[in-house]
Amino acid sequence: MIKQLKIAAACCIILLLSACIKKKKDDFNRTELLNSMYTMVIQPGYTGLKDASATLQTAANSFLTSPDSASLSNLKDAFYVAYANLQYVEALDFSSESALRNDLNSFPSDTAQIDNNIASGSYNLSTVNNLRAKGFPALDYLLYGKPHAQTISDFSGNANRKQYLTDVVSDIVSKANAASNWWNANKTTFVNASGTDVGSSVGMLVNDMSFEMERNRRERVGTPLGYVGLIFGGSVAPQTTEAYYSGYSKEMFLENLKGLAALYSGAGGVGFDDYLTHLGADYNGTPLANEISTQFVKVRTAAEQIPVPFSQAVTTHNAEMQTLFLELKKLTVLIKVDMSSQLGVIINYSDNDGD
Amino acid sequence: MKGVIEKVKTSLLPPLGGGGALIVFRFAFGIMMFLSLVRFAANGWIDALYIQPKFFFTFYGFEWIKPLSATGMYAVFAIMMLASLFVAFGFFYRISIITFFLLFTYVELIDKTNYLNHYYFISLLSFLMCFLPANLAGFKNLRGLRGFIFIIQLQMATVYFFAGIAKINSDWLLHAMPLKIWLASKSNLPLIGNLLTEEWVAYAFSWCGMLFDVSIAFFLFNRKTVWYAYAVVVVFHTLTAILFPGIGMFPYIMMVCATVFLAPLTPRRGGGEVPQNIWNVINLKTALKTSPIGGGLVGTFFLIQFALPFRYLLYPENLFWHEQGFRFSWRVMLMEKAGTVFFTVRNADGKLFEVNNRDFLTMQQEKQMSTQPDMILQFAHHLADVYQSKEVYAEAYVALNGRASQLLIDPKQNLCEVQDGFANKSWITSPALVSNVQLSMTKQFSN
Repeated sequence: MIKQLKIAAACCIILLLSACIKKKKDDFNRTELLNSMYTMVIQPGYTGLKDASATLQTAANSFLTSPDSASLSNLKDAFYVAYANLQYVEALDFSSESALRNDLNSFPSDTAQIDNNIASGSYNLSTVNNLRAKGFPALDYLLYGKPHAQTISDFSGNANRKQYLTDVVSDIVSKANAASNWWNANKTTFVNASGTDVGSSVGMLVNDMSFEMERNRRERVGTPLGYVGLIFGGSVAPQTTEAYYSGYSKEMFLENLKGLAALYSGAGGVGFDDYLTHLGADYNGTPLANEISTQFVKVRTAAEQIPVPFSQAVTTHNAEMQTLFLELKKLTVLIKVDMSSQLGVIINYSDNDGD
Repeated sequence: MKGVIEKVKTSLLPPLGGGGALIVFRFAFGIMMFLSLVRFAANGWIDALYIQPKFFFTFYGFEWIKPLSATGMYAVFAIMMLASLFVAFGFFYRISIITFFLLFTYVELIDKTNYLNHYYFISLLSFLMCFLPANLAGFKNLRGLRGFIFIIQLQMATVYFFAGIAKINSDWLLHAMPLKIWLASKSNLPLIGNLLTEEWVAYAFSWCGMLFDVSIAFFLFNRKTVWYAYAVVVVFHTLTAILFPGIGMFPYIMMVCATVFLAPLTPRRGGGEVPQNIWNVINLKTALKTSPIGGGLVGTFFLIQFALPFRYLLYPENLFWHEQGFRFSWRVMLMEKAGTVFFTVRNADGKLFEVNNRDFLTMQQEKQMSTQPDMILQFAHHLADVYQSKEVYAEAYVALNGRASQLLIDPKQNLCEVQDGFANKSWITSPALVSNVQLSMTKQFSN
């Protein structure tokens, strides 16, 4: 018996040694993935937002100094660009400083709260009850809530309104700067957390993508359709659409999707598609990486085929909105279930024992 | 000099041939439990698992088990910590171990989200320890004592052996799943990292793991191989602890508890008849003659444990898919299973809408529920209560051991119309059913 054990032990050692000597195969390196993800997607994304926010602030200041049609149009353009830049990185939720989803994009906006804040002139934008009274949803209401000319005259004589716009924009700028700075300071930490456990960078990225995909399906499409949540009890709810007043819901959705697709494919660098391909992940006979890429395209096409803002589309193009909802559901399952499972990543932000 | 060392040794270590073996085990178990509980509390899990949730997934037949208030739950854990220390030092041993067993089992019964095989193991072990004379250092009746040690050894052996039997399946042995996925995900580990992405390594680990689990108990029982076997136990569990930190205290608990096999059969001092072979000890006839009730109870206890892992045979189709008869069977590390469930409720106005699971469940609860049909049913019934609804549907997508995700249950089944129980859940998809029910949510919503 002892002899047999000894032989077995010797075999194991030989096996291990031979494996060590064996030349490495085309190893996929998660550190490389993270490095590329940082350089190609995250860093440019947050810098883009930071710069666009600065431009937004300049445009807001010149509008407030001389409120006229040209300066308002200029501000509206800056709003669009900055909002689009936020969409691109909205999924990322690595720290309280870098997570901007709640602080800058809690939609639909609470217009009553915004009006009250302006009327009273006293508010604290960092409190929870002002979450829907700031950020881009607030700007959407402030800049597009009334017709162009009316907006100009509303701002012209109203010091409180001017101050509110200044404060909301300053808040956006400071949040965007803080997030960008956080990422600059944490590149090494991000790249070095190259495991797949809860809290690892790959684990966080997959969780963030799943969460944002759910937000797209539920809040951006499902709630306006009346499918999701009880508040509107199954009735179409256009007022819950993102960017309701500006009507940029589709554009913002597509920007958001672009950000998610960048996180998936690495935007020209190393992405999760390469990772899945390396692992040989299969989906009913086709490579899972291709299946997911194709589904991204299907979602994009479904959204592009909707010719009007989602707020209108829920009534005028209901079938197309339903298609978008279904395609998003498929993409959510592919990312949240198939991809995470093939990567051995757990969909959870907090650690727990398993067995 | 030699005499001094011997004296120090005997004062520190009790004479192992007497009650000492049990004292060592009792001490190791108590300390291990204390440390586990401290770790549990330090991780904030008392709050996260027993105070934060608004809804708890009770076990079938144990719906009456309810969590206490926050203060109550902290008190329960504080008492458990104290009891485990008391057990370690033999302080009010009997009452302490009974307290520990009852409270630990109570906590485990609160929410099946948190079910782990090693928690079940601790419940069983602490139950057995309630009957052990582990407080008697000078236990003279060696024959009786051997019997007690054997009971603990048998409990250990049961865990290993059935965990091994469970690994004899095609996913594990023929596809190296789920280890192929899990090992590749650990490629960042130093030294062995590169190795882990190799396919043959996953196969080697799978087969070695199965062979280890199935056979280790026999080598531990054999006096000639016990030390070698224990060394293998240490290597095996250390490796699993490094590779899978997510399994928590389990490797350490097994390493510590397996020391019970090292208890020497020859007493250092004190007399008594010395059985040379374990089989002399468990002479059923003698055991039943000395304590017919005790012997009968222990026999029943183990017979139930031996039967439970096979109850899955009463259900059709794939056990890993439907998980009927999965728990309490030492099925560990067998599945990479992930899922997501969309619940749809018809409200009083007749409108269908999708629920946000996270409004009711913690992330951990949602994750566990999404792959386990009995939990999906429980949550569906909870939603029916909350929304006063008579129609709840679940569209659940699950991926198992590297296969593509597919529907876990019939999405057209109104879950309000079915009840939980031991009967086969026919609304769980089988491969034949899947092709027939490709749900169109569009269709459902336009109902």
